[in-house]
Amino acid sequence: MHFSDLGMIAQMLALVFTFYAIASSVLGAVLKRPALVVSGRRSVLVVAALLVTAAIGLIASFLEHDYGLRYVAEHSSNAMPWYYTAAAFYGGQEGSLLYWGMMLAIFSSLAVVLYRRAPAQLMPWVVTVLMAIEGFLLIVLNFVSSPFDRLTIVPVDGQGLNPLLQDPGMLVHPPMLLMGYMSWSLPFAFAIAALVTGQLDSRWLRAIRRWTLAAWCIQTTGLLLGAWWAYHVLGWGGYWGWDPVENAALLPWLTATAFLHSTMIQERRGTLKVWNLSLILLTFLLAIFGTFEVRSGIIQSVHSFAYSDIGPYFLGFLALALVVSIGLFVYRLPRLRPEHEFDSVVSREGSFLANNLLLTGIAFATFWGTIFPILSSVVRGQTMTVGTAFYQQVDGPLFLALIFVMGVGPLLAWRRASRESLVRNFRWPALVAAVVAVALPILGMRSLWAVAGFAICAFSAATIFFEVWRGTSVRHRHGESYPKALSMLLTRHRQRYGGYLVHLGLILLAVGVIGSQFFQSQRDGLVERGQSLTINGYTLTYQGITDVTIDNVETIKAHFTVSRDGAVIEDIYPGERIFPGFEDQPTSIVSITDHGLTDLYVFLAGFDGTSSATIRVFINPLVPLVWLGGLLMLLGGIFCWWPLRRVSPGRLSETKLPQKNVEVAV
Amino acid sequence: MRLHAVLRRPTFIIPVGIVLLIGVVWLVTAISAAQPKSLDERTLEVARQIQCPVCNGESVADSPSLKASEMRAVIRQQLAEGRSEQQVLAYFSDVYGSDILESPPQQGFTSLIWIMPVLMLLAGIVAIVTLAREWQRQARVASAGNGDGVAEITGDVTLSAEERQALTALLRREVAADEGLPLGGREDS
Repeated sequence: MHFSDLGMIAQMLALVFTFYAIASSVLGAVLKRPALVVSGRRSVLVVAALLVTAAIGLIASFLEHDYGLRYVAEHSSNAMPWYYTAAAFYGGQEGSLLYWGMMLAIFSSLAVVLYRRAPAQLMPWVVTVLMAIEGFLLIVLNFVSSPFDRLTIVPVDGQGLNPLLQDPGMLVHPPMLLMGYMSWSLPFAFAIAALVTGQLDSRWLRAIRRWTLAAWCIQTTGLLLGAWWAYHVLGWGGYWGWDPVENAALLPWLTATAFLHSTMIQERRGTLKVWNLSLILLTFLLAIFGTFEVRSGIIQSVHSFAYSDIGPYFLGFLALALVVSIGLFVYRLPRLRPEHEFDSVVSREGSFLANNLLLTGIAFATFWGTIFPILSSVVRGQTMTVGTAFYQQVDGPLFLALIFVMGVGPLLAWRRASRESLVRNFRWPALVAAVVAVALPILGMRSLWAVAGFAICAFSAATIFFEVWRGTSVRHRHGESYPKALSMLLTRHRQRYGGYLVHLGLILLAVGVIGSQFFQSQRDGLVERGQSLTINGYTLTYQGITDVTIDNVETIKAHFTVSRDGAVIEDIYPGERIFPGFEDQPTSIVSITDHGLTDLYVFLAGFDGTSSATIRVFINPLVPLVWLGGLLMLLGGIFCWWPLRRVSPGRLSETKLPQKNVEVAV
Repeated sequence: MRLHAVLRRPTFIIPVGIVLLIGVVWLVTAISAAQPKSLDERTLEVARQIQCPVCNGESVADSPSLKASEMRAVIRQQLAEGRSEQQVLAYFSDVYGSDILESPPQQGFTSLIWIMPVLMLLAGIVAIVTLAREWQRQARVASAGNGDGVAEITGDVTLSAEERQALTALLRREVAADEGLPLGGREDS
């Protein structure tokens, strides 16, 4: 008996319980038998427990180096440290599928426990949809791509893990991204349940509001980690390459962000039901599309190590989900009438519509660019590549427009904004933007695109600061000290000010992107020992190279001194690591040092013994702002999501308001 | 405070002046920016437009491979010899085939890649404007028809000074109670 046998049995039983959960929930809902519905819910918990067991079985097989298991033999070796050995669990396709199935089951259990008070009619259908997705994954896991297949001949040692994956960033990035994908299953399930039962008012939206925020945070983390990893490991001086797989991860994030905004209109004004439903269905379908794209290898990408033969299964599932979604949608269309009307385009609603238009516009352009090579090869029989230029030229201006709308939107009144309020709210931010637009060119900035970008960022940031200042000063006039007024303002309107934090984060990120896009400098050079290379005032002098092998991992580090204005400011050690079994695939150690807000990014491209080295040097201005902004976005998201402690109205009037003041003067 | 007063005046002098100032500064910048770029910048610009032939989905500017490094050297040399960016791109397209160029040409079938996003965006704008108009029309019809249980407002709806004051005070109290603020703050508008 191996741990893998335990895992295989658990995985098989999980499939049985998944089917039972579906059958029992559907029957319970249709025949109106509450007992069956409850039984269906409980079996979700059983599925989760079984899949956790399966995952433990797989991790245990890794830790005891059970090379009789094909998956373990292909993804680990004796030389690897224990943490990478354990993390290799999701380093390959079968394991990541199991991880995916497990996370979905855990999320489903959470949903079952958390949403006991959600509209009772919805829940059996929510469980059904979640378990249908789980069922699909488990069928693939059990019958097509199982991590528990055993080898007849047991190898002495394993093949090891792809060296690119042996990195702290890689330890966290894939599971986060997969978790982000998966967490959209629940909103999808609620949307389908609302369509099936015809309960199409805003209750299902309110039920999942905080969940969608959490899902957004997880996905944002996954994307940021991916960018961070690319920047620190791949050695091309950038953090986002518009690679098809990166795009696939960005797409659901874009539509989800649009969804988070447009639901606010539905909750407030009762309009846009059809749109919100389509957005959430689309988000989930795009998440599945992303997985399909990575696994099928249909488009050339730097993630090519993930290619496999399960692509068609995902395509089939995608088609099925698409047909079911559209079918239900068309069936329920007559019931999706708005409850309220729309008053004016110059209003908060109007700005949300513009936000949605831009976000879905970016999503469409990105999707179009990603699939266009397939289209081209089908229609014209001609392969082609769509490079970064396309995305920069199409998505860049759209993102700028988005940041502009982001500044305008929150300051517009709901329903209709008056001219006076427009002037009052926007004259100072507009003035700030004008100062930036005039000052930057005078200070010597030559690219007008960059100037326009910075001015728009300044405008939107100013609207946020202006708004916070105004709220604080109103409270201050009511007798609170400024710090207290600020903290009360933030904590009493978490959603609103959390949103502002996210916006501020995105603005910082945009400033970083503009800085590194327009003002990056790059230089390649072959330097002999003692020679130096100069770029933007930084002089790098080659001092020699060291080669150390620890735990079978060979680490080569070149030594450079960096000097500026004649004085040595630091020593840097760009290099590479060579893992056993992957001698032809060294992973690079990029040297990134921060000088003010500018990164000095040095990549060791090659070396000839100790005599000479080839390096690529990038000067990346403002890139630290990308990470700072990303972090701020994440914090803002968490701030929005954080549970709200509500003070009941009764207690409020007793404790905070002296009785004599409450009498009404009309 | 005086700047405040000026800005409040219903005048267009200041905004128009600011826009003009920005226009002048940008025009001057655009003209002066026409000075030549450095060889490094031009090399990078051309390298960004060429696909690295030995990698997956990376441009010659981005790829850390030796092949890309050699190609960058070729670009640099050709530019230094006085060829234009277009000539260098044409050279690579001749040697490696037109697939190697990153930016899709803006002609024939491939021009669809540029046209579609623009078309979709325009369609979105048209859809939003049409929808907004339709909703506004429905809103007018609904309010004119005295339906939806909304009481029709007749007669003089202008508030007297006292009524307005009372309403403001009530509103302020409700907001203050909502916000957990102490009452009796300074009167302000």
